[in-house]
Amino acid sequence: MATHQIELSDPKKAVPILSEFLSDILAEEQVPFEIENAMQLCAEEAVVNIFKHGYKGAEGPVRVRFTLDDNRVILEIEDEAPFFNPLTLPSPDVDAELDERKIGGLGVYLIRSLMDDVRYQETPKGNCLVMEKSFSG
Amino acid sequence: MECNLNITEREISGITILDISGRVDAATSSKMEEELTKKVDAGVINIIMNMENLSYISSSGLRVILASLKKVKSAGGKIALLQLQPGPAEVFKMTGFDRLFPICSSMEGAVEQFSA
Repeated sequence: MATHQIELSDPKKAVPILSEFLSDILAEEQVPFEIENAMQLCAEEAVVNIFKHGYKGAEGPVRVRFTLDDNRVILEIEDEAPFFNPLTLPSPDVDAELDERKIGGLGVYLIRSLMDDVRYQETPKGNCLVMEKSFSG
Repeated sequence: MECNLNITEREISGITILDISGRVDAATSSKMEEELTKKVDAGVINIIMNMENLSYISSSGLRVILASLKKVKSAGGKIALLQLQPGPAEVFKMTGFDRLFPICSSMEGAVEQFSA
């Protein structure tokens, strides 16, 4: 089992740092392309939501832990923002025609769609989102 | 920090082609928003977004493209997408965006979208 961790704090730099961190690990671990894309997306969507809504655009600690266990990847994202379970957000209507389409609200939907399992936990300091996905070797 | 998104512009048969390469994520989507807003505000309403070299798009990018599509449609225009790569194509499919845009595999096919 391989575990890698990074701590982000600056909302302006978080996404490129996170992307590079994941690219390096996923290349090193030789994870298939579709899993890399899913991991990049879910990590970005979760982290962006934390900075935007949890920390209201301010700096704050966000810890991203990536674990590869056989053919299963686990992403755990912890913050110290006020308690909020993103999984309670309603799903957008992805079948709506253009006129009825709302702009935004797709981040959590993508996480739910791409991952096999997504869990939310309150922690003593804030929030933790755990996302898992299996793949065939 | 280097911006991992490049957008260049050209024109074919009076249609503006935006060649987009790199990643459209929360850090780079504002650059695409600026480019598209500049075009639409200047009256450009028929646009082909060539995504042959776009490796990644997140919901931040989808938001920008959807907002632009709404604007050009209300002005009687259209946005067609060209050569979506596997990662972005999956995102478009999952979110139903593949039904909002014509997605073409050749430039000729994309240009034809504007001939009707």
